[in-house]
Amino acid sequence: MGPRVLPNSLIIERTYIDVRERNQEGDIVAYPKVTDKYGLVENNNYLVVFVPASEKAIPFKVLARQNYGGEVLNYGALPITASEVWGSYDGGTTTAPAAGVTPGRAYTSTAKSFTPLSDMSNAYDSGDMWYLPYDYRERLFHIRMKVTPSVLRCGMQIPKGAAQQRFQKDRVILGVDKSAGFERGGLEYVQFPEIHYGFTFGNDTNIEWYTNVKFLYGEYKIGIPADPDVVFNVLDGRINSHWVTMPVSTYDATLRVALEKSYGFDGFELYSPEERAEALVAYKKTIERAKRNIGGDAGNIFITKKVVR
Amino acid sequence: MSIMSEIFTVEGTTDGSSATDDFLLYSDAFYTNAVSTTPLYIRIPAGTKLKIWSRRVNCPTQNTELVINYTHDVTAAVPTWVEVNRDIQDVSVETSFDKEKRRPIVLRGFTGKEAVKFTWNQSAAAVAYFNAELEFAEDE
Repeated sequence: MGPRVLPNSLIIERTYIDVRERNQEGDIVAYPKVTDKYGLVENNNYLVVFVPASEKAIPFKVLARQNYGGEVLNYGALPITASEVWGSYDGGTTTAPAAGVTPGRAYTSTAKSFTPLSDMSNAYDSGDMWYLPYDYRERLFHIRMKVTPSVLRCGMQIPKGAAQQRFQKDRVILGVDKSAGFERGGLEYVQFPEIHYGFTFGNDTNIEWYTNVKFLYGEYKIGIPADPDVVFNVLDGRINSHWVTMPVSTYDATLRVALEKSYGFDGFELYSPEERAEALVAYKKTIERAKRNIGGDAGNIFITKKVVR
Repeated sequence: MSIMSEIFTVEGTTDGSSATDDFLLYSDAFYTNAVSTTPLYIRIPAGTKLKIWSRRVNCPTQNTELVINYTHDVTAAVPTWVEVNRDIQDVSVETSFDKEKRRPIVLRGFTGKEAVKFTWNQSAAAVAYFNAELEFAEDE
């Protein structure tokens, strides 16, 4: 379904549209909404994951959400152990007063992973519940992590151990322990296969907080469009999609290798509309190379039928 | 993604022996295993606002004032606290009050050293109960 031209009487309705703009004729144009109440991508829509460090994006078509109706995962407390050492905003270190409790005026010294809950112990990786190997490449987790209290600073390391927030190229490394380089209360990200993420937290209040993490997530069955036209239209915004920009400012080789191993390539470069012809040639080459790199049936990650919208 | 908004409740009780002092603050969200670690104040992170949405005081026997004090630098050896709001429960009129305004009291964290505390004043020391609903919020 493409964009609809709406009569003016409908433009105040917000129930099913989230993007409105005027076309060249001045009409209000509404696009079908691609995300639901959780901010997760609806079935049969596109999720674009952009990696700033490589300036490349991957458009994933959400063929189906496996956990429809079960998007909320109440994880419980942050993975903090009693007496765990945290860095202090006031200098030196301090310790967590109890399991799941943040010390006051402190930040995590080492990044954390979320181990599977006890009733989910069959998860693929016993130390990282969101980790998937490359042969689960047709699956993708889109995750919105909400942390209580929402005043806590949250940051990511991709891969775990590699701080990603930077200022003035690589001159200053930022993060939850600095004045910038974090979000408060949660994060939105996409979990790529073959790579472990690390999570950092900071509490710049004086309160020792009980904590809680709630994941709103979609386990998507995904495909990558094999039609260069579709790729271009999605990346150029002609086909509506939900973009997630990963906080990756330094392109660690681990991430590139993980993407190559999983998808056969590490993304499509972005082109402007007037470079469409050039883009289509480049995208075609990338897709062919990617299919070869994956090989065999795994190449089915690419949707070969032209998608008509 | 900005999801920075969440209301939490703090509660305090006068000690029954002091006519004026600062409330020790308890909350379901605060970890407290000893009185000494219970916060007397709440520090406001830089770039955030602390909104005070409601205040409740209950003292059936004595007039009780609830004073909200704010400082720009709680790290100072002797912080300078400034009164930003005062509510009075007059026992001749009511044994409790409950103020919930459409617009909250807003206190800003400019540098991260700002803090707020809640103080009681009574005509004579008596046990009084207080709670407030607070929210940290972050501007876009």
